[in-house]
This record gives sequence, C-alpha cells and structure tokens, in this order.
Amino acid sequence: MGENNETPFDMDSSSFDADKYLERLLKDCSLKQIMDTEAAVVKDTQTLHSDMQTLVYENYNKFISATDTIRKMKDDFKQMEVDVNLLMTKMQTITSFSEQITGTLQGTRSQLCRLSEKHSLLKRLQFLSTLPAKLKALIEDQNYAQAVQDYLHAQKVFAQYGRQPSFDGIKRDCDAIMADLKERLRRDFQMAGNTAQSLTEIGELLLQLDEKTSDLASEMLTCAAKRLHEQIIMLQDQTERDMIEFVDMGIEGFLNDLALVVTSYFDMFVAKHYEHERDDFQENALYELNIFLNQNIDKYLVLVQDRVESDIGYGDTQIMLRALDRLHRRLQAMRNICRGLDVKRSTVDIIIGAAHQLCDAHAKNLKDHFADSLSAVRLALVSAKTDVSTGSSLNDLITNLYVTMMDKIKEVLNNLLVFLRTDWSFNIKAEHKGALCVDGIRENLLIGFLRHIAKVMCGFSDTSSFSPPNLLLVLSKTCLELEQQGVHVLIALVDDLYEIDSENSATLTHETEICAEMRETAQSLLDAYVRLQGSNISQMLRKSVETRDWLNCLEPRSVRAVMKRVVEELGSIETVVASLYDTTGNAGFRTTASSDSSRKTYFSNFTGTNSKAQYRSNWSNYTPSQLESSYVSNIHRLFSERVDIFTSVEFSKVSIVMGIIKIGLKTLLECVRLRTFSKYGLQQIQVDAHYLQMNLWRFVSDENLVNYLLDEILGSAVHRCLESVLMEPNAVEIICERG
Amino acid sequence: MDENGLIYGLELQARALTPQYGECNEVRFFIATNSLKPTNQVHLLQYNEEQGNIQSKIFEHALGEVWKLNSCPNDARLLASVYNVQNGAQVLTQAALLTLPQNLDSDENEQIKSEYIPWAQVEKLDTGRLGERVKTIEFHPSQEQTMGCVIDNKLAIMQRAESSTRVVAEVSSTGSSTKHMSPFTTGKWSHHHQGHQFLALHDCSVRAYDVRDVQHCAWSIEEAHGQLVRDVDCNPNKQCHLATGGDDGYLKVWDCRMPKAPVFARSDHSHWVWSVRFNTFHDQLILSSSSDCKVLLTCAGSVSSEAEGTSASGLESTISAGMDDRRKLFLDGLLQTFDQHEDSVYCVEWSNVDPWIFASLSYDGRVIISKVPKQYKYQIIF
Repeated sequence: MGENNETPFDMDSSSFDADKYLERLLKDCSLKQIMDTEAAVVKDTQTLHSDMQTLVYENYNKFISATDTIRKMKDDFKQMEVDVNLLMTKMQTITSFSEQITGTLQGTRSQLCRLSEKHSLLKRLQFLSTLPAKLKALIEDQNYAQAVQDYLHAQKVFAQYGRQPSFDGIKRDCDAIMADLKERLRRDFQMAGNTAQSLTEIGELLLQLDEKTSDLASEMLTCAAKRLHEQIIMLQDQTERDMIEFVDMGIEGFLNDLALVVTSYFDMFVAKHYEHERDDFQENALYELNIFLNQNIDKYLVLVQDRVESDIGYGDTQIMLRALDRLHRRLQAMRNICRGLDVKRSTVDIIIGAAHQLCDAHAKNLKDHFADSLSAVRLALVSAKTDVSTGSSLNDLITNLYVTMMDKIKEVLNNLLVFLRTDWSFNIKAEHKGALCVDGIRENLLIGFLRHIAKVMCGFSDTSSFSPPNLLLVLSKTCLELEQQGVHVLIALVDDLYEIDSENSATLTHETEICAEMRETAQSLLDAYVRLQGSNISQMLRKSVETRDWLNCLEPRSVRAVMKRVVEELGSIETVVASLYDTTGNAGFRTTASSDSSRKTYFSNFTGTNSKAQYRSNWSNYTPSQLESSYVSNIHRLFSERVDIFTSVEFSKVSIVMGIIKIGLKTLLECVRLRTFSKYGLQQIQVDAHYLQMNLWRFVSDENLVNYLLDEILGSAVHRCLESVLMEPNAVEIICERG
Repeated sequence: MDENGLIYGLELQARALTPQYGECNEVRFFIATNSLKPTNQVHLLQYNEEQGNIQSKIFEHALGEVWKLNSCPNDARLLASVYNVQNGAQVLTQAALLTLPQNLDSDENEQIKSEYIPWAQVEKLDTGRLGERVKTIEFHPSQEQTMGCVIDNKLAIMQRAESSTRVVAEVSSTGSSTKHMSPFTTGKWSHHHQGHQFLALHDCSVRAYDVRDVQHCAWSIEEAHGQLVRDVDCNPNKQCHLATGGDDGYLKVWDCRMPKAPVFARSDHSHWVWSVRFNTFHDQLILSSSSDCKVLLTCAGSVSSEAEGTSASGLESTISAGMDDRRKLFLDGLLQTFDQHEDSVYCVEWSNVDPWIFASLSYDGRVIISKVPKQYKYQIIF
C-alpha cells in the first residue's frame, strides 16, 4: 500500500501536496463543493489550533511540577545517604556478632550430630530387642512371612554385631523363636490338610530360613505324598458318584494338587541352583520328583482302574469313556507341563484294560444269555411235551435261539465299537496292546463265545446230562445253522467293524476252523440224539423181552404192544426230525425193496422163492434138530457183505431215523440171544419181526439193512429156541395186518 | 498174527471165555459154548507164540449150555461153569465145578484127540435152595476154598471145605408195584480191601458188599451207567480203582472213594459194552468188548497206577520220572480198534501170563488171540 496510498491528496499524510490538492479540488469539484471544503478546512484549522494551545499549557505545568519533585528528591537522597551509612556500620556489628555466635555454637552442633546418630542406633537396638516379642506376635498372628522377613533383616545385624555378648542374648532368643517357628512351620508343612498352595508357601519360608534344601525337598515330597494319599482315600469313598463326577473330582483335587506340587517343587528345587548343595542335587531332585510323580499317578490310576473295573459292565460305557477321555486329556496336558518328567503309566492302558474287561464282561454276559436261552429252550421243550411238540414249534425254537443269539452278539460287537470312536483323544488301535485288544474282541469275545457255544452244546451230547432228546435235536440244528451261516456272518461283521484283516493273519482263527468245530458239535449232538432215542427204544424192547416168560407163552395171536409202541415212537421221531431236515434230497435214494408195491415180499424170502437171492434170509430151511444152522448162518455171513451197523449219522431225516432203528434192533437182537424160547415164543418173535419189517421200511432208505437185522433177530431166536418151528408166513401176515 | 490176530473157530455159539489163571507159564484160555443143541463143549486153548498157532483140548460140557466160565487162580485144574438146565417148562441156571485131569499133556490124550477128554471130577453146586438163576461163580483171588456166588437177587459166599453157604446180601425190589424184581447182573471179588469185598452189579449201580457181615454194603456207585452195568473189573495195581462197562456204551473208570463221578469215561462203543478188563501189568491199557462187534483197546494213562504222582512205590516213581516226556505223548483215549469179529463180542480177556496178549470171543464162536500193537508196546515199555 504505502506510497500508493499516500496520495498527495490526503491532508493527514506526510506527502500532502497542497498545490496538487488544490488543483485537483478545483478541477474536480463544483464551486459549491469547494466552498464547503474551504469552510471545513477553516474549521479544522481552528480546532487544531486551540488543541495545540491547550497541550502546550499542560506541558508547561508538568514541567514545573517535575522540577519541584527533583528538588525534593535531592534533599531526600542526602538524608538517605546518612541512613545507609548508619546501616553499614550496624551490619558490620551484626557480622561480628554472628561470627562470634557461630564460634560458640560449633561444639554443640557436632554433639547434636552424634546424638542423632545414637538415636537411630538406639532405634535399631530397640528393634532388635523387641524383635523376639514382635516375632512372637507375628507368629501368633500367623503372619509368618513378615516374621521371616524381620528375622532375616535382623540376621544381617546379628551378622555384624553378633559377637557382642549383649546381642548374643537377643540373637539366642530370636534363634529360639525362629527355631520354634521353624518347628511350627515344619509341623504345618507336615500337617495333613494343607492345600498344596500353602505347602508351597511354607516351603518357600522354610527355604528362606536356611532349611537344608535336600531335606526339605524330600520332606516336601513325603508331605505332599501324604496329602495326596488323603485325596486318594477321599476319592476312594466316592463310590456313589458316577464316573464323570469321579474323574472330575480327581482332576480338580488330586491332579491339580499334584501338578501344583510338582511345579512348585520343580521351581523350588530343580530350576534354582543352590550353592551349598552338592552338584548333582538338581539331578537328584529331578529324579526324586520323577519317582514321586510316577508313584502318585500310578496310585491314582490304580484307583481309577479299580473304579473302572468295578464299574465296567454295569454303567453306561459311553459315560465312562467320556470320563476317561477327559482324564486322558488332562494327563496329556500334565505331561506337557511337567517337561523333563516322564509319566510312565498311561490312561490308554486303563482304557485298554477297561476294553478287555468289558469284553470279558460281555463275554460273560453272552454266556449267561446263552445259558438263559438254553434253559428257556429246555423249558419250552419240557412244557411243550404235554401238547405233543410238533416240528414247527421246534423250528420256532431254533430260529428263536439262533436269532436272539445272533442279535445279542451283534449288539455286543456294536457296543464295543464305542472304544474306537474317532472323537476320543486316545486311539486304542495305535498302541500294540490296543491292537491286541481289538484282536481280542474278535478272538476272545466272538470266537471264544462261538467256541463256548460249541463246548456247552457238546456238553449236552454227554449222555450223563439227561437232556431231553428234542433239545439235542434243536441244538444240533442250531449248530448246523451257525456253521452254514451264522459263523460267517458274525466273523465278517467283526472283521468289517473293527477292520481286521483275518484272511491274511497267521494268529487269528480262521472261519473254517470254527465252522468245523460247529459241524463237529452238530454231529456229536446228532449222534447223541440218535443214541438217546435209540436207547429209549432199546429200553422198551429190552424190558419187553426180559420180562416175558418166553418158554410158557401161548401161541401168538397179535403183535406185542411194545412193537406197536416202538413203531409209533419212531413215527413221532420221524415227524419231528422231518420238520427240521428236509427229505427232498433223499426221496429218490430209497433202495429197490421199498419201491416194491408189495410189502409181502419179505416172507417170500423165507420160502426161498424170491428173486433177491443175494439176500440171506432163508429160514425156511431150518428144522428144529438142524445142527448145521450155525454153519448156515456163518456161510451166509461169508457171502454177504458185512453190514456196518454203527456209523455216524448224516444230517438227514432218513439217516437219523435209521440210526435209531439200528440201535433198537441191535438191542432186540442182544436181548433175544439172552433168552430161551419155546415154539410159541419163537413164533411171537417172528410175528413181531414181521410187524417191524412191515412198518419200518417207510422210515429208511436202505431196507436191506433193516431186513438184515430182523433176520439176525429171527435167526438168533431160532438158535435160542428149544423147538424151532416157525409159523406159517400167511398166518403171520394175517396177524400183523390185523394189528 | 501180529496185526490181525490168530483165529480159532468154534462150531457153536459161545459166550464164556476165561484165562487159566492157575497156569503161569503157558498162554491158555478156556472157552465154552452156549448152544441149546446137545453137547456143549469146553475148549482149552493154548497159544504157542513160536509156532504162531493154537492148540486146543476139547472137553464135553454135558450139563448144558455154558453162560459163564471162571478159572480158579489157585488151582490150575479147577473151573467153575454156569449153565442152563431145562426143567420142564422152566429153564434153571446152575453151576458146577469142573476139574481137569491131572496128566493133561500126556500122550494117551493125544491118541484120542477126536474124542472129548473126560473131566477128572464134576461137582454140581447145590444152588437150588438159593435161587433159580446163577449169574456167576467167582473164585476168591487168594482163599482157595472160598467162592462168591451171585444168584438171582442174592449174593452167597461158599466155603468148599466146610461145604457151607451163607447169603451175605440180597436186594429186594425197590418199587412196591414192580412185579419183576431186578436181580444182580453179575459180580466179582474186589482185589482190594484184603479180599473182604465183593462187587456186585445191580441194574445201573455197582455195590461192594463186605462179605464178613450180612447185608453190609461197604460202598456203592449208584447210577454208574445210564443203563444196565454189564461188567466190572478192578485195577489190580491201584487201590480203589475199577472199570465198568454198560449198556449205554460207556467205559468208565471209577475211584470207589468218589462214587459221584467217574475219573475216566469213554464212549467209543456204539452198543452195549459186555466186558471190560484192565491189563494186569500195565493197567493204563483197558480192553472192552461190545455188541457192536468191536474190541477196543483204550489207554487210561491219567488214572493208571503208572500215572505221574500217583505211583505207589518209590522205585516206580524214579523210573517214571525219566519217562515222563514220552508218556505225555501217550494220551488218554482210544488206541486201537480190533474189528475182525463179525458178531457181538461178549468176552475179552488178557492173558494172565503174557501182558501183551489177549483173547476175544464173539457169539458166532470165533476166538481171536491178538497182541497189543508193537508201537504201543514199545511206548509203554521204554
């Protein structure tokens, strides 16, 4: 702005140019305006003028007054100078005085210093002298930490002045008190009922009190062990809690304490270095700790194991496994905390043990169940006897027994699968023992059970067990079904569920082994059945032959009742057996004789007119006096094939019934040989034999065998007859047909 | 003959076989026929091992068909036979003592080979008072004059010297309504208990009677078999052990102190077991014969006197100690089946002279003299 603004036209500025201003004014403005401007300027000038006058006047007055003032000041200063001089002199006297005083006070001050020093010393001495009391008080208040701190504080002093006799007393007092304290701490340390937390604290205090580290270390462990033992005992009593609660209690109480003890021990003794201990102290401490830890974990795990063992098979396995899983996790975590320590025992062992035990329990369960269902079958058979046990009911029993057994086994197998659930933190199969355990499920549980079945069933085949014959039949059939189907299904199931490769394993039992065993059992049961039924029939026949007076009987008029009963019995056996074993396969196998429509051909054998000459039954040749009869029979023997009477029966109706018939007829033969017959006795036998011959053909496939045995019977009767005169075949036939 | 046995055939049916117990050098057996036809015979068979043949001497048994034959252990010439006699409409079973002639081996007998050799003496026993059916006459193992006689439901002890007979036991029908009273099946002297006990078989049970007293049953095994007990034999070397065979086809070995259950049982036979015999020397070997036409040689090593720990004498135990391993392999069970018979085998007997030889007799009159197979023999000896 500056110069540009400092126009020469502004009257107030310094660059005002009156001429230019006038020139411009004249140039620019009208006259009127000029006149006005002139008036204004005049007026301004006048005002300014008067202002100037006033100002001058005022300044003058002020100057006058100022002069006056200066004059007055001149006078004052003179007086002041006097005063100052006076002050100076006074000050000089003060200084001298002050110097004087300082000189006099010098001695006192050093004394004061000494005094204050002494004061503080006295204070400390007082602390020392009251220390015993204070310590006592602190101890009474159980403020041990403070007491120890104080004592340690005092300790330094004692270290300094300990030699003086006066302190010696105090020191002794203090030591005594502290010894007391130590004692008390130690008692506390040892006293059961302290938490691990307080234990650590006390441990720390004792350490500060210069307790021997190694002693303390071992003591700590023993005390902790005691305490943990109490915990264990407490846990032992918690029988009514369920497994999860039990494990939780263990984790919260025992394991936490243990972890605390271990960590504090570790911090106190292992991690720190103590100069006054032997070099290997830390190693030893670690070693001790390890032992301690393992001992306690062992104890606890033993407890858990006991618990598991007592619980398994009763409670819910799932819950127990969950609890064990939790425990496993906790121990795993603990293992991480206690680095440098190795916990030998593992929960997995317990779990495997539990699995084993559960397997055993299940096995027992299965066996019990099996025994139950067996007795149920038995009962059903016994009660069914009243209303004639028909084949269908037997079939029902078999399917029932079979199906429930299969279901039960499947259920158990599925039940045990819980051990292998993938969300558990443990993996049984990973461990060798565990893998064995899984194999054990297959081997001990399934195979073992199947073997057990075979064994128990085999036990029934022992004739001394007096089992009802139909039971044998039912069991035999069940075994057969197991062999043909069940074993395969179950083994495939277990292999599938547990991913066992049994085909390529050398140690695992192969399916065929079990099948063979089952088949063997079925066979022996069937044999036993045949034996039992055979001996039932035998018994009837034997009694009938033994009790009759064959020498004094009348001419036969009818078939003896026992023969009819035998045939009836065989008939009912056949219906039962037929319902279980289909005969379709054997229908066409019946040997020639039966296809003969005429049942009468048998007797033509006796008359020697029959075309079946190879068959030796030519009793018509005999005369009572014929001595050669035995030769004849022997010669017949030579030319006929040896008939093997006793062979194992097959799983078919015909074979079973035939087996029974063979036993019965053989018995009849033996009984006949033990008796002596009159003519009519022989004829009665003849009638009976013919009746049997007429009726038995329909049960058997090979009629020749029956005929052979009947011939033997009749032959023997002829031998044993005093007067061997046979009846007319036609008469025999008529009697038999009459029934 | 080693494997198949030597066969001797009779023309008639036969049920009676016994070794000649009084003979101690030759292997000899008596057999007797059981036929209603006249002229039953008793054959004395002598087995000649070197020549491998059987020589026989034939006697007539004119009294009737022989059901049971026993030889006296103290008198080689004495035999007891039990035979049937027909008495009108009744058949009675009686017993007689037969004495062999003194000079059996002399030449004059050879000359009349075709004829029957006559008996030196035939003494019918007076059993008519006791009952109708004699089951067996058993010579006392040590007292020559004493015989046990099982007759119907009675057991009588006969003293030949005093010709006295005394009934020591009698079973009566148990059920009130049973019309038919079941008699004793047969009996045998017990080798144990100083010969004071007589084992009698009754239906399914075995009973031991103390013969010094009347009706004194020392012990009994009830329900020894599921059905009739056919035969019993004492283990000659082991106290209290006896074997039984029954109609249920079982062969059982019992300890009479434990009558509840047998100590050994096998059911290899498929029909009645008619006869069981312990081997006199090696009592783990048991022979049994059955109406399934088979003779079975069974090993019951676990209950034999040679079994470990139970051997009676110290000497034996020291010997057996070294043999344990081998014996272990010699398991209990069926050793051998002899199936050359074609009819029911009612009798089987070990030779009393050679422990490896035995004879079996089937109804068709076939006697087979067999040996224990060599492999078993060696296993037992070594």
